[in-house]
Amino acid sequence: MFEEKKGRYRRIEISPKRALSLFLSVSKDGSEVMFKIKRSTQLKKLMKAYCDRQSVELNSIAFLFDGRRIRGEQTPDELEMEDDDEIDAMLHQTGGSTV
Amino acid sequence: MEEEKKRKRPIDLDREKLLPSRDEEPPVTTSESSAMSGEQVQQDGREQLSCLGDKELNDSICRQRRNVETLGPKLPDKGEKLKAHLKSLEEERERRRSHLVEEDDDGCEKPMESKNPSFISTSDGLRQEAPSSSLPSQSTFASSFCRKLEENTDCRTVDAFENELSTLNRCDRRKMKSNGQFSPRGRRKSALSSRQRHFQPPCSLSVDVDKHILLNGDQKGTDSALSSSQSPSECLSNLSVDVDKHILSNGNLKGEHSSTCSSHHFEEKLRNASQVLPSNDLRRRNGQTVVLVDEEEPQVIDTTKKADKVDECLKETTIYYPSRDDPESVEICSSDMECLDPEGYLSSTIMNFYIRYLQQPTSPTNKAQCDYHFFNTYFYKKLKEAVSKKRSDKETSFVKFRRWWKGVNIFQKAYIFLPIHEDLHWSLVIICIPDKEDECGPVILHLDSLGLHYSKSIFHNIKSFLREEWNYLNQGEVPPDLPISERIWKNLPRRIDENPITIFNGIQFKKDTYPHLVHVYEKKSLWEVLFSYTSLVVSFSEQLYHLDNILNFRACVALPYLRMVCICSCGFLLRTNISP
Repeated sequence: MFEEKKGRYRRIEISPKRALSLFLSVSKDGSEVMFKIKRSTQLKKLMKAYCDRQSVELNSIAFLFDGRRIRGEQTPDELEMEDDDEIDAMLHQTGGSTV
Repeated sequence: MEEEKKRKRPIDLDREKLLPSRDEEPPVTTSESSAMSGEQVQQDGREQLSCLGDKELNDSICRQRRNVETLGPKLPDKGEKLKAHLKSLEEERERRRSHLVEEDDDGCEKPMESKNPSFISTSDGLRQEAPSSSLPSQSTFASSFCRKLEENTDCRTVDAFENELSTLNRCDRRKMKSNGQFSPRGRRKSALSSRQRHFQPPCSLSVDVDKHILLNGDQKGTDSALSSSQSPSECLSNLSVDVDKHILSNGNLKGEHSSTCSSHHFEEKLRNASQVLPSNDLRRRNGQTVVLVDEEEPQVIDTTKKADKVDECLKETTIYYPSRDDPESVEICSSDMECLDPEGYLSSTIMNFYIRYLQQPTSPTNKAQCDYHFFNTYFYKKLKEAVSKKRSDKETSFVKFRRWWKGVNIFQKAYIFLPIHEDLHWSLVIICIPDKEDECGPVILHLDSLGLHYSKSIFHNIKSFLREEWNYLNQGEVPPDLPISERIWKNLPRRIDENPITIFNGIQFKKDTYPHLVHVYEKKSLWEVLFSYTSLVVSFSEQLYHLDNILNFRACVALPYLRMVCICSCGFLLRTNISP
């Protein structure tokens, strides 16, 4: 537990020696796909690769990092992503009630 | 394509050259000579030469000379055929000079007498040859043309045309310019005009031919036309123009690719075999064909594409709210708005936008938003996953999961809103964290307009989530037990009951129009809250008039948004009511 608390500040500590590229996993409904991506690469490349792999439409899925939706032009650097971070791929939800 | 044609039929080179300068006459004979075998040239040349008038003969000799000079070196046979033809032309002229009787320029020649041997031979030649070769071939041409018109796709007829045309055609460009109408002067000057006088004027001739083609029958018409014509070639040039027109009109009317193709094919052959048509005619035809096949349809496609593009542009226009730089900005594009249409299903994009919108501080002094926390629509799904894991996995998954509300102490918030999406339906969970003084502990409300979602499992999931979080925040310290009172849960309404309409005497609530408004929380306070949202606190028993106005306003201006307001902001409004 203590380590966990420490983990909150880990990002700041290791930031000077960041690796050039990092591994990210995209999880959807329990299944995970690993990606290696450069820190400066726009994440839409990853999104496209994932959608191609899963053969789903790009615009049918929302990619979330820490609960926030990722925009295509953002980079891992911008989002301060770290190695082994997880991206959630969520299908867009629609709902309503017919009257 | 054009290059290939040039190679195959080198004669076509000059057509290209001649296009810009229309005044030059097309080298008719060159094309013939190349299109036919040597023997045919000799034979047909004689026939044709005998048909020519003096002036035409001279003209063609001049033309030939020019052609030999300009084209000869470029041709594969070094202009042999051209020279031969020129020679035959010159011979013919010599022959005529030695035999021909002086003629009046006015053309009031008498019918030729059989005494004149030279003329007999000429006229005989025509008389015999025209029926034997020209006339039958002409009629076969006409009949095959008729077939062509009917069938439109028969390519065999094209070959037939080629032969006939190459045999028969003599192009006088001057005449062709006036669309096949004979110029009277040329007619008078022609060597055999004496014969012509007995027959119909050429204008009616061409009409006959037209009729024939149009009516698709009556060989007589053609026969008479042909026999009346002293030069079948001219008639044919009429014909070929008409053929052209008809095929074109055919293509226009039917617009079939095959017909256009075949006609095009035919035209090409026509052109190659005998350059009957003036260049401007070619151009016109080319233009029309292109419009038919290549331009018109693509234009239509183009416009639709453009329309699509415009739509796509609109749809792809994205807005970032509140701003692009905001770390928690939401992205929304105009196509997302479609779900706000009547009877459309709300999409998560719109929901999240609205959630974000509600969280945006209305004014810097307003700190109310600090008292609540709104999770986005994906949160509950994640929560369910995290909660459903086994004990050991739960720890690790919660570590990751906690980043969703990083830096937020849930238990310090007054209200937590949790949109739930399951089975194509939205509902809302509100976690009310009471003040410390209150003994009741957190209260969970589930607002479900349809009662579709299984509240019990939702409560279970949220309870374990809260417990996990509570344990995490108070590790090892004090209360191991989460102060959530089961008792209170049971006493609180789990969903907004349908408790409608009858409350409002006089107000016509239409269930169809305001489905979500009908699912009204029965407690008076919620009603007050609901409308306090619009800063128009409507006391439910007193200000019916106001209420009506509000409803009307909303229905007119923002009916689509109303559903969202009801789903998402009910809880929000509830909060403002409870903790004023």
